[in-house]
Amino acid sequence: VKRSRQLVVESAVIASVLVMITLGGSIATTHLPPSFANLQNPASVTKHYDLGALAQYYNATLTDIGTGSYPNASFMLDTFSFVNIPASVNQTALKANADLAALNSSIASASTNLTRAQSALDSRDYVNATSLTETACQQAKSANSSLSAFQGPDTAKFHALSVPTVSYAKGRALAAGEVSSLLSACDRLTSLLKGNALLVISSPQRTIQTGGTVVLNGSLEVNGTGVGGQDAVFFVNGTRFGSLVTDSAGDLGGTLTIPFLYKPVAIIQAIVGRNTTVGLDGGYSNLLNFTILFNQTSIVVGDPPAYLPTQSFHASGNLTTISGVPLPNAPVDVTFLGESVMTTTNTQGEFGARLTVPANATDGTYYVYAAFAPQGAFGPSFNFTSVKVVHLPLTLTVSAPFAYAGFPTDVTGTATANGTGVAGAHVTLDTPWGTYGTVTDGSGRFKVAVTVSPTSFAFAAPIKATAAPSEPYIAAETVHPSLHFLNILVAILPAVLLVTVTYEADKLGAFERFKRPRPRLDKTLEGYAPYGTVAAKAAGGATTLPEPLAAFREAQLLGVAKYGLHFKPSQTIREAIAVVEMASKGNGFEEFRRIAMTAEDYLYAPEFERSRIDLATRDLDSLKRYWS
Amino acid sequence: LSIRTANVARALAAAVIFGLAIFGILVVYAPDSVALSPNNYGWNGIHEVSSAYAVNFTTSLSSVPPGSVLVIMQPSANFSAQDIAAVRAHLEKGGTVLVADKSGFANSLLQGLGSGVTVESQDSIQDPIYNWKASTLPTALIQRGVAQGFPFAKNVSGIALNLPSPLLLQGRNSTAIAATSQLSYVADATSKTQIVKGPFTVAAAERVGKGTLVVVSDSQFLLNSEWRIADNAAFIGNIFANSSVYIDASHWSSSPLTSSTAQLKAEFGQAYAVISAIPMRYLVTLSFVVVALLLMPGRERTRRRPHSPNER
Repeated sequence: VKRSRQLVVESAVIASVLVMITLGGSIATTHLPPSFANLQNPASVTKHYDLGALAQYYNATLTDIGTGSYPNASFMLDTFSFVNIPASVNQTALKANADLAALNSSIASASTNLTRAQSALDSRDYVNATSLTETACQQAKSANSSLSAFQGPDTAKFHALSVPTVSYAKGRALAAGEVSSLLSACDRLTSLLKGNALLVISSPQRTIQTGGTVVLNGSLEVNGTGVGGQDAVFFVNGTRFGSLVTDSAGDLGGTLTIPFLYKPVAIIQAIVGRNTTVGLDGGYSNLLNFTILFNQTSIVVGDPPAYLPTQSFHASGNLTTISGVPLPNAPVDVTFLGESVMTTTNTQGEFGARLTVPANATDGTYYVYAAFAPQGAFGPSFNFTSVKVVHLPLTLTVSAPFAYAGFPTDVTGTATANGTGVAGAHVTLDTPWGTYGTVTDGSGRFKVAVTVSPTSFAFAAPIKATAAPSEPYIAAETVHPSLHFLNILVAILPAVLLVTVTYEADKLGAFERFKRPRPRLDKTLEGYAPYGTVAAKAAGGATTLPEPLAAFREAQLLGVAKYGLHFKPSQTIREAIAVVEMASKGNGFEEFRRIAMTAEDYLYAPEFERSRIDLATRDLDSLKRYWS
Repeated sequence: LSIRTANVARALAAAVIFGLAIFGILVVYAPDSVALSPNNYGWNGIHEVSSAYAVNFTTSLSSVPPGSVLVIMQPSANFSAQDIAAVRAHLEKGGTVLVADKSGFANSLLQGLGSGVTVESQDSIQDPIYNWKASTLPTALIQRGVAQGFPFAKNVSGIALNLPSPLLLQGRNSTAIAATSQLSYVADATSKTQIVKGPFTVAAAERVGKGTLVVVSDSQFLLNSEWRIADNAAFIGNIFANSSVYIDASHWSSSPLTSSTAQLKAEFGQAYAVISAIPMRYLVTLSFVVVALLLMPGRERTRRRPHSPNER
C-alpha cells in the first residue's frame, strides 16, 4: 500500500513536468492560419537552366556593343555572376565574357580616340592627331582580335555544350560591322596625316629643366632635296614654344626655351607649312621625348603661430627657380597632419592654403609641408614649417557619498575649463561594478547613479572618472576618487556561518560534554516491568511499557539468562540483534530479531500496524520455549 | 497537516515550479514556425534578419521612434488616413520607410504619400537567365550610379526576389534602384506566354521630407530562405545599419504578434521588467530562498517521535 502511494506521488510529479513541457512546446510551435502570409517556399521550386536564354544574353550584349551602347554591354558583363547557368558551361562562359569585355573596351576606346584624332586634325594639331590615330588603330586591331576569339573558339565550345549559338548571330554581325567600321576609319586618318615633306628633328638632350632650354637640330627635304628658308614651328606637348628656319641645305639648328611644364614628359614635334612655290605640301616631323626635371626650384613657406584644435590658419609661401624666377601656375601640395591641400601658384609664384587643426589633434608641435607637385618625380623641391597645437586644460571634480551595497548612490561632479562650466562633456565612470556614462549640463555639472554590487565586500573601491568635452580644443581629464560603502552581508554572512557551524557541531556531539546526559533507551526501560508478567502485576506501582518495547525488554532478559549476554546502555537495537546472533548460533535468533525490529519500527517508523504486536507476542512465547 | 501529506505537497509544488520554468523557457526560446517570426528558423521566418539587427514589431505606426527604419512588409489591409499621416510624419522627421509588397495593398499608402510609385500587383515577373534557381525567382540588378543618391545601394549589385511585381514609376522624385534584366518578361497568368518584355523596375526610392521611402515589389526578400542569396544581406544591412528597425504588424490579419507565443513572451517580458526593478528584485530573490527552504526536506522531520501509550 505504501509503495503504491509513493508511485502515485512520483507519477504526479513527472506528469506535472511533462504537461508543462508539452504545453510550452505546443505553444512555441503554434501555427498561424495559412492565409496570414501568402508566401512561396523557394525549396519547392525545381532548379532549371535555360541555355536558350544564355544565347539571348550574348545576343543582347553583342547588340549593345554593335550599336554603341558600351555602358549597357559593360553592365551586362559585370552582372554575369547573377546569371543562372549550369556548371559545365561556366568556364566557357567566363572565357567568352572576358573576350567580350575586351572587345567592348577596345571598341569604345578606339571610337573615342578616332573622333578626337579627327578633331585634332581639323584644328591642325598634328601632334595629337598623330598620337591619337596610332592609339586608335591599335585598339581597333585589339577589338578585332577579341571578336575573332569570341566568334571562333568560344562559339565552337558553346555549340558543343548545346548552347543555340545561332540565337546570337544577329548581335555578332552588328559587333563585327562596328569593328570593321573602326578599322576603315583608322586607315583613312593615317593616310590623311602623311604629306610629301620629310622633316626630321633630333636633340643631344634627353632631359630638360622645366622652363629651361633645349638644343634642337633637324633637316627638311622634299623628294630627297633639302629645302631652305622654311620656318619650322616647334610644339611641346601641343604648345608652340619657338621656331627655327632651315638653311640653304635644308638643315636647321638652335636652342629654344620651353615654358614651365608640370608634367613628367615633354613631347616635341616640328611642323612646316605648305609652300607651293617650292613644291612643299607641308608636314610634320618625328616626335622627340624628353624627361622634365624639377630640381632647380626652391620653395619657401611662412611660419604660423600656435593654434587650438578646430581652428583654421593660413599657410603661405612662394615657389621659384633657384635663380629666383617665379614659377607661375605651378601645382603645390600643402600637407598638414595627413590632410593635403592642392593649390597653384599665381603669376608671382606665390601660393597659399587654408588649413584646419584636426579636432583630434593632441598637444604638440606639428609640421606643415609645402611641396612643388608636378606630375613627375625628378627633384621637385619641398619645405616645411612647424605649428604648435595646444588644448585648454579641464578641471574635473567628483564627489562620491557613502553608499550601501545593492542600492544606488548618486556620484556628482563638475567639469570646468578656464573657470567656466563645460556643457555637453561626456563623463564616463569606470567602477568595479560597471561603466556609467552621462553628459554635463549647461553649468558643467553631472550626476550618475552608481549601484554597488551586493557581491562587493570591501569598504571602499577606486573609481575612474573621465570627462571628454565636446569642444575639441578642451583637453580631456581623468581623476581617480574612491567610493566608500558598506555591504550588510559582511555582517549577515559570518553570522549565518557561525550559526550553521554551531548547529552542525551540536549535531556531531561536540557539545555533549557540556550537556546533562540524556536518558538512553535501556535506562528508560529500567524500572519498567515486562508487559504481561505476573511480577509486574504484583509490583503494583511499576509502570507498564508499551507492548512492543515490553516484548523486546523481556526477550533481552531471556538472552541474559540463557547466554549470559551483556547489553550495554549505549547499544542500539541493531547492535543488540548482532550480539544475540553471535551468541545464539541460530537458536531463537529469528524470533529475537523480529521482536527487536517490531520495537524499532514502533519507535521510528512513520506507521505502525498493531497486528505486529501479536506476532511479536507469539515470537516471545516461542523464545521462552527455546531459551528457558 | 500530517508529515506525509506535507512531503507530498512539497514534491508537487516543486514539480509545478520546475514545470513552469521549463514552460517559460520553451515559450521564450524554442523555435516556432510562425511566418515572419523572428524566432522561426525555417524558410518563412526572419530569424536571420532579426539576429543581425535590432528588429521590433509595432502595431502603432505613430509610435515608431524618429530616425528609425519602419518596415511595411506583406500588408494584407489598406492603409487609413491616420496610418498615412503617421508614415508621412516619420519620413519628414528623417526616418526610413521600407515597403516590401507585391500584393498591392501598399498602393493605398504610396498614393496617400503622393509617391509616384505603384505596385502593379496583377503581374509577376520571370527572368529565364538572371535568376537564382528558376525563372520565377529572378535576380534584380542595381542600377548604375544610384548609390550616389541613395547610399543604401552601395556595394550592392543584385537582389534575389521571388515572383516580384513590376513597379510603375510616374513621379519626378522616384528613382529606379533595381530592375530585372532586359531578358525578363511578364507572362500571361493562364497561357504562360510572354506578354511584356523587361526590364522592369522592382525597387525604387524617393526622398520625402528628410527621410527616404524605399519600395521593393517583393515581400519575401527578408526571409531566411532569401537572406543569403545574391546581395540581399548587404542591401538590407545598408538600410538597417545604425538604426532600430520596426516591422509594421498592424496591417496583418494575424501575425507573430497575435500568436499565443508572442503574447506570452510579451507577458513574460513585462513581468521580467517589473521584477527587475529595485526593490522587487531583492524581494523576489528572497522569496526564492524562502520557497527553497520550505521545499527542502527538514532533517528533524524525517523521524517521528515515539508513539505515546495513549495513542492507542
